[in-house]
Amino acid sequence: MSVRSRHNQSVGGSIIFVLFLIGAVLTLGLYYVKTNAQTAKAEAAQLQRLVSAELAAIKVLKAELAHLESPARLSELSASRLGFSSIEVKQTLTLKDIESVFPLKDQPEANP
Amino acid sequence: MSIDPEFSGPARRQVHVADTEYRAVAEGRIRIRIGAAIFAFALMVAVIRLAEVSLLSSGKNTNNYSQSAKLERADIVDRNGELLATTLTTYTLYARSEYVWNAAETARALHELFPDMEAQDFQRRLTRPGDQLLIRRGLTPKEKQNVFLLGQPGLMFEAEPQRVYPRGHLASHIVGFTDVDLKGLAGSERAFDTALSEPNAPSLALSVDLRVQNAAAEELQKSLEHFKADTGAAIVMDMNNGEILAMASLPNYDPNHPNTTSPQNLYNHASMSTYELGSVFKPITMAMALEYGVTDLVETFPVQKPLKVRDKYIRDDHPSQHPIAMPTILADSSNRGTAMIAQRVGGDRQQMFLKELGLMDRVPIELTESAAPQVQREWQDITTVTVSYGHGISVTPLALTTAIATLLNGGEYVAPTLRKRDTVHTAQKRRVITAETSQKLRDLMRYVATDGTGKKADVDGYAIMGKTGTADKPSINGYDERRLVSSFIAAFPYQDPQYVVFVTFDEPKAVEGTHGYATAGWNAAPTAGKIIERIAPILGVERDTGPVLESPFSETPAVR
Repeated sequence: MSVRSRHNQSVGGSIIFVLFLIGAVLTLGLYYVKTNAQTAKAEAAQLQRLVSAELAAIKVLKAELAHLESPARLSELSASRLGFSSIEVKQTLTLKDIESVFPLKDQPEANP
Repeated sequence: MSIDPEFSGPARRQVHVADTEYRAVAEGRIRIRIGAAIFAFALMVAVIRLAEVSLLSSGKNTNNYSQSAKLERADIVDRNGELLATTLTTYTLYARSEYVWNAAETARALHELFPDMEAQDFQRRLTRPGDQLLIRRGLTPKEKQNVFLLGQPGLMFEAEPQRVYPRGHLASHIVGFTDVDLKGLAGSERAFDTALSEPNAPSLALSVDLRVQNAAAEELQKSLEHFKADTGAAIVMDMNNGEILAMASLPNYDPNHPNTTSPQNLYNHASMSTYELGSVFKPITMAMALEYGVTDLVETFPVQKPLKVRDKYIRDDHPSQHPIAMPTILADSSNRGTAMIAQRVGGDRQQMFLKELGLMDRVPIELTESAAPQVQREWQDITTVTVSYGHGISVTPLALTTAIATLLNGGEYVAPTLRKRDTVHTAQKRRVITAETSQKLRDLMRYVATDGTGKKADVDGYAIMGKTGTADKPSINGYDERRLVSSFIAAFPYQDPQYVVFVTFDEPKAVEGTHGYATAGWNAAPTAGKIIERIAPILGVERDTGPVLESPFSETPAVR
């Protein structure tokens, strides 16, 4: 084996080693980034679960509120506690009729 | 070291030198190379695995949120966003018998939390063989916490979605219910099942106004009890776009507990029950006669004379002693007069007109609970006569409401809907009668409310139009005069009709104050009036405090 061929073999081996090293470093880097991404994703999932839990709690509150302010319940409460009943037509008044039903009182004359 | 004996030099000897160090170094190199190769191979395997994990890993099992999202179902709200149905997470309580220390003690503790279930029942469930014993379903978060605080071992929870209807009985037939797998079984839950089940679907806005629904249901309930009727139904519809604002059917049910409800209560009488509705059909006969031009508003008909069709005498409840014209025929609800007008129209044109109004087919509403009409197979001359005043044809209250809305909204048919109209879900209109005929129908029905059988429905300041209908129920031997279906169709306000209201009672009874009558003028008409009195302000219909708006046919203007 000549000195030249031995030199070429050595250079080739070095290149392969360097390429291998670069590949390994890149792979390790990618693994690191990917691991970080998965950690972030897991945190996002955890946050998402918290949001879901909060939304579920809000839904429960909304359902309770809807139950509490049901017209039938409010009607029953206002009738039993306050003696209210449904409004009748004769109890209503349009804006244009206010003046005729409740005329303005005469202004008292100013003292001389 | 050895010397080669064939050495040709001065000494000419050859000496063989055994280089033991060289051999040792050579062996060492071989070992190093093998070790390096193994190391390189191992490193390569590690790198390839790293590359595989880094590049090909799909990141599964990092987020199981989507699994719970599959169990979602969109909310149902009314037209103003009021919640009607929602999905909540509830908990199912299980037990693992091998971990339960003391079944009797656990059962007692559970009984204290859930008194509706006996301690023996709990104990029996806790001691059954099996890994996962179902103890109780549908626990609220608070109940779950209370069970947790018992500190009893062997009790487990599993989250599951449950459909909840916070309004209870109100609008139960409209909203419907689902099964435990959240599949729609009735009402809107079934009608809009696909839209509600889609992932991340928005809330479904119905056309219903909860306030209007409550007012209609309350007044219907009061009247149903007062007149001791078997069942009742009420509908409020926007006549210009077909939106159902209220649809009440009694008896009703709590959709939170559909399994404990009688099947009769699940029946939506507004859209499923077909009735021979009687005289509320008469405006339809008048409309077809005016549209086909076979008569006008002033021609009189000899209703004082007996009318016989195929051996059947047509009789009037309030017989007139002299000929009367169309307005009085309608206001006095004359069967004879209506029959004479229908005979002029003829059976073929009558069928065609009824089909145009959608009365010969199932109402094309989203609900699956919508019944087809019952129509006679052979349309004889007697059929033309009886159908003209609402006998011999059975339709649902919803079908008649839609038909009358067509007559009064300017003459265009609009299919009813339970979905709130928007830019996507617009009303498709189809002209049936002219606007001129529609105006005449408004005048005629206003006349019924001011001077005819519908006086008890009129509400001061809202100028309603209407028509009563009282029909004998069919029995084995013809019709049973003691069993009635009473109805009232109303619309308001007269000057600019917007809403149509229909009320019907199945077998109402005569009560104190009705002078022995159980007819529509005494029960359905005042009920419709009370409903209008309550819903008109809600719907923003301005009360008219001026002189009473009269129909052109009124002889003497009423004085407020």
